Amino acid sequence: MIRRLLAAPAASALVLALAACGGSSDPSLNQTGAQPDLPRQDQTLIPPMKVSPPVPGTANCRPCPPASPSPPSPPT
Amino acid sequence: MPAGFTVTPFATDLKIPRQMLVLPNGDVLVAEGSGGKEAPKLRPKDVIAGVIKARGKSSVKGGDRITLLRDADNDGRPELRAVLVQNLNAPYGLAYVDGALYVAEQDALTRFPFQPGQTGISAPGQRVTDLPSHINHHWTKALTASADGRFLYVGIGSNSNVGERGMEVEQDRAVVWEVDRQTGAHRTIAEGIRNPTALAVEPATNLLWSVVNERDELGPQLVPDYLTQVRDGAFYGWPYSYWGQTTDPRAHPQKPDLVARAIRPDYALGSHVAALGLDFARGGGFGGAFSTGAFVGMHGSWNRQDPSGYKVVFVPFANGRPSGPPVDFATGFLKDGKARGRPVGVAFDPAKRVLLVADDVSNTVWRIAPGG
Repeated sequence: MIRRLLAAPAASALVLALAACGGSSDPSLNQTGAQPDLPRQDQTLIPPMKVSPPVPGTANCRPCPPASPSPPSPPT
Repeated sequence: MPAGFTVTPFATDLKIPRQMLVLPNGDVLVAEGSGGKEAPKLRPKDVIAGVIKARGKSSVKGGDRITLLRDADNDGRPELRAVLVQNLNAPYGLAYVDGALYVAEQDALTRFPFQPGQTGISAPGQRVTDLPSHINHHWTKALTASADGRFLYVGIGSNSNVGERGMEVEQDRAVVWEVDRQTGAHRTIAEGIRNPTALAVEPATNLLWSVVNERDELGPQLVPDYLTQVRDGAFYGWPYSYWGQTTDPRAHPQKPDLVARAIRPDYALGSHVAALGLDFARGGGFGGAFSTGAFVGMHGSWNRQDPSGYKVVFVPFANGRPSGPPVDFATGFLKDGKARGRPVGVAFDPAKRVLLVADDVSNTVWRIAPGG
């Protein structure tokens, strides 16, 4: 019973770890515009998954000056 | 922050702000909500993806409402904030035409009698047409009106990543509908357009454009999400091919006849950037390099190691077409690997010369304006 209880979280952690592996991109590829580079298809059992979690306390902060996105220099 | 523009919170404490609409009188409507919760997970990796995606979301429950913000003196601080409509079903796309507000909920296109200046709607909505909602793997329903106001255009996303639920559940999915505003009758004008998350009319040509989220699980740099003119009768490839006629082996049986007529989108935005917002600069925009073109809100990636998106870019246009590389317009949503915000809808107000950015992590609408 105890072994079973331990197995599920361990399996989940392993799968999440696998999901976090690989998936690095090649910065030399052009990925925008009318003619993007289309690299070789790369299928894996568990594709890389990684989302950027929110900064703690971000939700409903009022206001969030440090969180202000930075716009570009003024148009010329 | 570089000189030249000021970024300030225009509204906070929202409940999952997604798309926005600037009304003719300058009032701003914000659709708040989150849908698609009923889509069953097919495979173990779908469960994992759900866990990963949830880590990047706000814990706030979607408002299922539309909030009105009025900043008549354009000082960046709305003097009036009101809930215009509530008890909606995951509202997303918004359009106003000739005394009517149209709301694309996750299961229906609804019309409310409305005049700019109103701060509340008590009349019940009238259903213009049902929208596909079975499973709702992609639940958002993008919306915009044609330049002459006769038609409404609705973007309806696919019911899977790449057809893994079977193609029978993809009927009326991965399409753009043209809806007759008066009768509610619709016809499909574009197919194979995987997830058209925002629609807008390009002001120089009055042609319809969309940002589209492409498929996952082919690697960190496949497949580019894109910005494209929505051409009447076009097939954009999904699920059989991408970027024109590059076939996807996961879609079987293949349909060579469909692939043969798949067209290339106009403009790649990058893989997995999750473009969710689109609006065009009008009335000279911000001037200079930002006078004509498209603002694109990128929610950000969940399925690659190095994040992509998490910003607002500007795609310059000339003669109604993209004319150069995208320019980062608003960045800084990521810091030290954590999200301080995730852009969704963008709305440009030519009268006030401001860009509004909905952010569904900090539950804020940001206001970006020249000056400061």
